Amino acid sequence: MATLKTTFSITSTDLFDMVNLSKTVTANLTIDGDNRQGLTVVKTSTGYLDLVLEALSGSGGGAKKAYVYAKNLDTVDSLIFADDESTPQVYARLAPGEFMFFPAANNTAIKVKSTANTPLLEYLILEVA
Amino acid sequence: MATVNVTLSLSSTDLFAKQALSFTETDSLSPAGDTQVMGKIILSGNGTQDALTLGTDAAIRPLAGDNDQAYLFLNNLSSTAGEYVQVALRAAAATAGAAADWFAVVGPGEFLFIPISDMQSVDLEPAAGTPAVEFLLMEKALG
Repeated sequence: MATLKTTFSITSTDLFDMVNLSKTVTANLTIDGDNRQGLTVVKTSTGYLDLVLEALSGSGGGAKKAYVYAKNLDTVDSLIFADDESTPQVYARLAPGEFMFFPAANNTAIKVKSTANTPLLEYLILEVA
Repeated sequence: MATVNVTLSLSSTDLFAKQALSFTETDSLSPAGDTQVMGKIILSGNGTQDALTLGTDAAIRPLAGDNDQAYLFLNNLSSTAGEYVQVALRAAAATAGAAADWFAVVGPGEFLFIPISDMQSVDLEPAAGTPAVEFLLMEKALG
C-alpha cells in the first residue's frame, strides 16, 4: 500500500463578476491495486490505444477504480478519451497542453486516440484494489 | 473571455520502490461558453441521478459548442466511508445516463479535474448517503 499526495488549485479573477475564485484542495490517496503504471510517454494515433497493461478489476470504492493523470504534450492536435464499450463512448478531450486528473471507474480499459497525426501523451495510472 | 489558472501537484515516496514521484503541472484556461456554473449540491441519494447543468423550466440546459466540451472540477465533501459519487455522462440533456455511462468515481474527500466532452450534462449518483459535492463546470465554447 502506498500514498499519493495530491493538491489541486484553481483561481480566477474574472470568471464571475460577484466572486473571485480561489480554491485549493488536497487529498492523500491510498494506492493498493496491483497495476501501477508510472509516468509514461506514448505516441498516439487516430486509432484507439488502450493505456492499461492489465485490465482494471478492483472493487474498492467503486468498480474498476484507478487514478489517472494525463497530459497532452502536443502543441497542435487534441487527444480523445473513451470507455471500454465495443463502440467506445467518448468522455474527455485534452486540447494541446492540457492535463487532467480523475479517478476512472466502471471500465476495464482507458482508450485514447488523436484527432490527427501522432501527438505524444504523458500519463500515469494507479489502480485501486 | 475569462482566465482560469489551474495547478496540479502529485507526489509519493512509496509508490515505487526505486523511484520517488513528484511533479507539478500548471495551465491557463480560457472558458468561453455561455454556461459557467459554480455550485454545491447535496445529492438526492442512491438511485437518483442529479444533473449538474442549469435547467430551463423542466428541461436541463445542455452543454454545447464543439463536441459539447467543458472543464469539470468536482470535490466530494463527504468524510463518510462508502459515500463515493459516481460520475456519468448524460449524452442527451433530456435523458439520464445509463448504467454503462459512468466513467469516474469520486470517493469521500477526493476531487477530479477533467475536460469532459461529448456529453450535454453530467449525472452524479452516490453509492450511499446524501453526500455534498462542490463543483465548477466551465463550458469551453459557445454553441
